[in-house]
Amino acid sequence: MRLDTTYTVNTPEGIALQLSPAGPLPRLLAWLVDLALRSLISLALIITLSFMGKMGVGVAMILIFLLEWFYPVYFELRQQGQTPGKKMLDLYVAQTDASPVTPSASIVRNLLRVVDFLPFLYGFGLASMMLNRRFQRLGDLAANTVVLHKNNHKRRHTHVEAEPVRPPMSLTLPEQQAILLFAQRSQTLTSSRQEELACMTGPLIEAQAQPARWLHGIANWLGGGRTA
Amino acid sequence: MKLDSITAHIRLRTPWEAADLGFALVQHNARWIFPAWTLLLFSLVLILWLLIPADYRMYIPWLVWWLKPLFDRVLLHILSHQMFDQRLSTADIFSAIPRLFHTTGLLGGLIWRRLSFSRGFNLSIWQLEQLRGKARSDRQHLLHVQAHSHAVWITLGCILLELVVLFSLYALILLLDPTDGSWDYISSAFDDMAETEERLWGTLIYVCLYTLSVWLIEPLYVAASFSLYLNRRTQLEAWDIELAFRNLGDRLRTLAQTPLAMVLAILLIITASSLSTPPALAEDTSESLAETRLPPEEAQTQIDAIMQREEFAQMRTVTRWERINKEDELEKNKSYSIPEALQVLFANLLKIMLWVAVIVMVVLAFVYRRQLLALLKPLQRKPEQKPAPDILFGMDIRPESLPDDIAAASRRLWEAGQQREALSLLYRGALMRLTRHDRLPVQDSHTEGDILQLAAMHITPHRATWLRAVTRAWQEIAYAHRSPATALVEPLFDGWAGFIHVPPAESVTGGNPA
Repeated sequence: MRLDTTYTVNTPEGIALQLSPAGPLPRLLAWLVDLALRSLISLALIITLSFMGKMGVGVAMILIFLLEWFYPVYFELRQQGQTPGKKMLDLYVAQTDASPVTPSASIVRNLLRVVDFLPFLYGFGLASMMLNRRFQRLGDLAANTVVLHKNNHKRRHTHVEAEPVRPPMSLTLPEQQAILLFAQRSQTLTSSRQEELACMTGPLIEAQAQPARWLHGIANWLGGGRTA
Repeated sequence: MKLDSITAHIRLRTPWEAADLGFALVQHNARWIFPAWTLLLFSLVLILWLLIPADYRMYIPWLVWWLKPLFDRVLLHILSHQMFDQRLSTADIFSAIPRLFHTTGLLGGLIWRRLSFSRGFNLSIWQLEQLRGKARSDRQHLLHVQAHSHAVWITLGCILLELVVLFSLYALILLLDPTDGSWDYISSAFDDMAETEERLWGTLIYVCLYTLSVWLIEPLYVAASFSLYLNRRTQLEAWDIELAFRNLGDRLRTLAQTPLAMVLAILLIITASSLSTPPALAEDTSESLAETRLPPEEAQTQIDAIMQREEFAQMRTVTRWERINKEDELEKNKSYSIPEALQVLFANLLKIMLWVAVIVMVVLAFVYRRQLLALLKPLQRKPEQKPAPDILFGMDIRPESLPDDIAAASRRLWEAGQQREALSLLYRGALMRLTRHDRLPVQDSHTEGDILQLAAMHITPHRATWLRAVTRAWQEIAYAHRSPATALVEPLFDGWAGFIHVPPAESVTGGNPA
């Protein structure tokens, strides 16, 4: 087994989902963004409401209390598990089986922030994350939730003009995927590197003058293009 | 560098996933990284502590901070070998240190590149690619194109993590110390006027905790930066595709047999430490009295004498902030409390709302009292009570399918010559009683014998005897097609009344025959 941060969840439909839990660094930064946002809102509340005297300050305190405790809950439940900070870092909260976070789990994981915060500034939370494969803090463990990296497949699918070629031998699924990836990422690779990579396939490009172009052709064929 | 021997799964990750991979690398390989690293860091700190005069020990953490590029080089040496599946012994690592000092641009790293925010990321170019001069700056520029901001954020994040560990350890000491003594020690480290001994302890705590936080976080920092570097190179050079293509080439070359590559990863099992609480000692609460009681005046003089002693006669000056212009403040408050009526209104409104909420809760609690009381009951997990089966042995045993007076009905059938139907009706009636009234956990899969055994444990011996006789008669006619003699069957019809009559005690306890 090669080292990776992911773990697999099998859905009832027999689909294996690869989930990628987020570690302390991105979560720390996401928390800082949220902290900054909350502080700004709290400051604005105090400034505007303090014009109403002591009563205003009291109301502001109540609102800040609610903001501190239920800001993450609101966003996790209404914004697909993403607070603004998590959205910035492409993270989201989910149950460990990747189903959407439930209201009770969200409340539990956010109320237990107090425990994770101990002794100071999330010391226990950090310890729990580092002792855990899925980087779960104590609140996550209690609520059975996990913070995951959101996979944004916004990659542009570059299309290389090449005559679709039927591969001379049958290829396994991972091999087909590698050839498709090769074609998709060819823009980020130098042409000499492309030739070098193509030559590694050995018998597949046998006696071809332009191995990379030949592979692009195979990729186009795999991608659905057919010889005219 | 052989890409085949890399221990991590190579795929194109997002930069943050790459940083997490670095953390996982340390997590998984802690037992091979930490021994040498611990020895290096702590022996260095110890040497510094011994060499530096007491007045300047305050600056040891700064020195440790400044020497981080040195540590990074050793850690990267360990981690990069670990990544490519080479486990170095502590001796190997220490013997490599002198070479690392003069081949990795240490001097620049310690002086003018010390404050670089991407030093962890750049270190790989210095140390692993061994590039210098223009080649290095070009290379660095290329690698920075998409990774620089993340490299900087990893550095900043790790500084914050270090602070988290440092402050957490300090807070832990303060939390676990019931006296306020530790606070004095801790603060004395940063107070030039403190006593020498206090200051020494304070400094020692400071140095230890800072060293601990560096000890924990620095490997993570180097690993995360290294992993980001690998990810950037994967992106640039398509390592994942290279690996896949090589495998493809190999497979096609040896189509006959696929090489079986088994890589066993030894998983680190994190043991949760179990905390055992010591048994609480029973305290002796009885008052201890002297045998002779002194009169109050005498006791008072003794108390005074004791209170005069040195231990009790200490004076302590406590300084704290007090508000001077309390009166003014009150005056001021009055002066700008213009919307007082509004405040009172708001407060009353809130009060009324709270009372309404309380009343609503009380009403709701009354309405839902049953559910609420059920919550208070201790959870009793009953063995799942299946509904009694409707059909046993192909016979309908629902009460509604049977006549009211079963004994009379079956006697009539018997006298009419329908012997099979008569006994079947009687046996069905018995099963109905057992499943419906005695609530025996009869299942579809039970045989007549099973039911007899089950019943024997739950009903009185008298009833069990009757049931045995009925079962036997029924089995004879049903399976052996032999009609029992009328003389034998008559007592069964007569016994029905005795069978359905359940003694009161039995219905409560479930009947446990002695």
